[in-house]
Amino acid sequence: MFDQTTKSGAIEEIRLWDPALRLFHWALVVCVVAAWLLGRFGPSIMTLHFYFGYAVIALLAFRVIWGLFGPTAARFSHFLYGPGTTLRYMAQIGRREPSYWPGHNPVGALSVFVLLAVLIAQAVTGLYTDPDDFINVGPLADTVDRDTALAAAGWHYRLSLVVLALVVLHLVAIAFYRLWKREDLVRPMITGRKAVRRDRQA
Amino acid sequence: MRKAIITAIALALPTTLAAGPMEDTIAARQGYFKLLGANIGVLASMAKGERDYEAAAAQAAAGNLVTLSNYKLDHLFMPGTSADDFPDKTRALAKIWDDLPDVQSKVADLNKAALAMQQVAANGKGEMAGALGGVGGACKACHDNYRAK
Repeated sequence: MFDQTTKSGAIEEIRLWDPALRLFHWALVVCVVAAWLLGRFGPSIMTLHFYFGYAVIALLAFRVIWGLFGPTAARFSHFLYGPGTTLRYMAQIGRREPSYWPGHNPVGALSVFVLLAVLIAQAVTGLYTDPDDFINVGPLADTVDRDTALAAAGWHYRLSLVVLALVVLHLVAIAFYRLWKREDLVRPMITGRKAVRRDRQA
Repeated sequence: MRKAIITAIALALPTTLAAGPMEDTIAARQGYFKLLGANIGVLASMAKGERDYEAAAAQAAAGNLVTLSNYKLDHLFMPGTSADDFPDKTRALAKIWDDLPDVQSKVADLNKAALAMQQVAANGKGEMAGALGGVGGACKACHDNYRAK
């Protein structure tokens, strides 16, 4: 099975993800999925979509603060990798063994940054959206000119497709790690504990 | 003299060609939706408290919405006037013409919502605002499917 005694370090289970980060993650799942489905299929009076959107904004604000001042594994600086490390990780990503990476691995980190940036853009465009229906107008749409607010509605729609694509990619990556690399990434996000090799950190 | 006239006609021709029946139809269609928007805007600004609620003005706007949603729209949706044909001028998606009966049923839904609004528009801000959801929802139902994002 796994070679646990190769030259560089043993495998140990550590407490990786702190409770607040895990709560953030699953709350974000619920709020993004709810806001997305309500936006696409929900009632024409979109009050609930707005509320879930505000919740997403609060969660993103928390994540940014946690990324700057939170525990080690949650910090942006902890998973901000250079191109060398990222390319080296990608070169061996197809190996049929767990990554044992103590945190977001270099490719997963890219996904985290892109997902956060897209969700922030989605939240901001939502605030300024004027869908031209007089009932679902974003709370800040009045503060910009009408063309901008109408354009924000267009971007809010297009970004919803990007969010969908990123969520699908996220799930495909989890399935790839689970089925191909035989590494469960979901359980650590529930329990906080993950089997890692400390030398895997660049 | 004759040469001058011919030259003048030749110079004027491109502009006359540019504003043809298609463009006129698009402009008329957009005017129709602007009229709808202007009247819903009266009700929405009262509901949001941006202007004082006035029963007579609300009633008039609701009546206009009923009139407008009874309007026979067919000529405004002349074939060849979609966003595919005039991408810079209109956001009317080509699939409108794939299912005109559905578009018409959505206008009928707007008419129902406008009639409901007409019943309550003069009954105070609260009741009027309550009916506004139905009107806005009818706008949204069509925008979602038939207007370019």
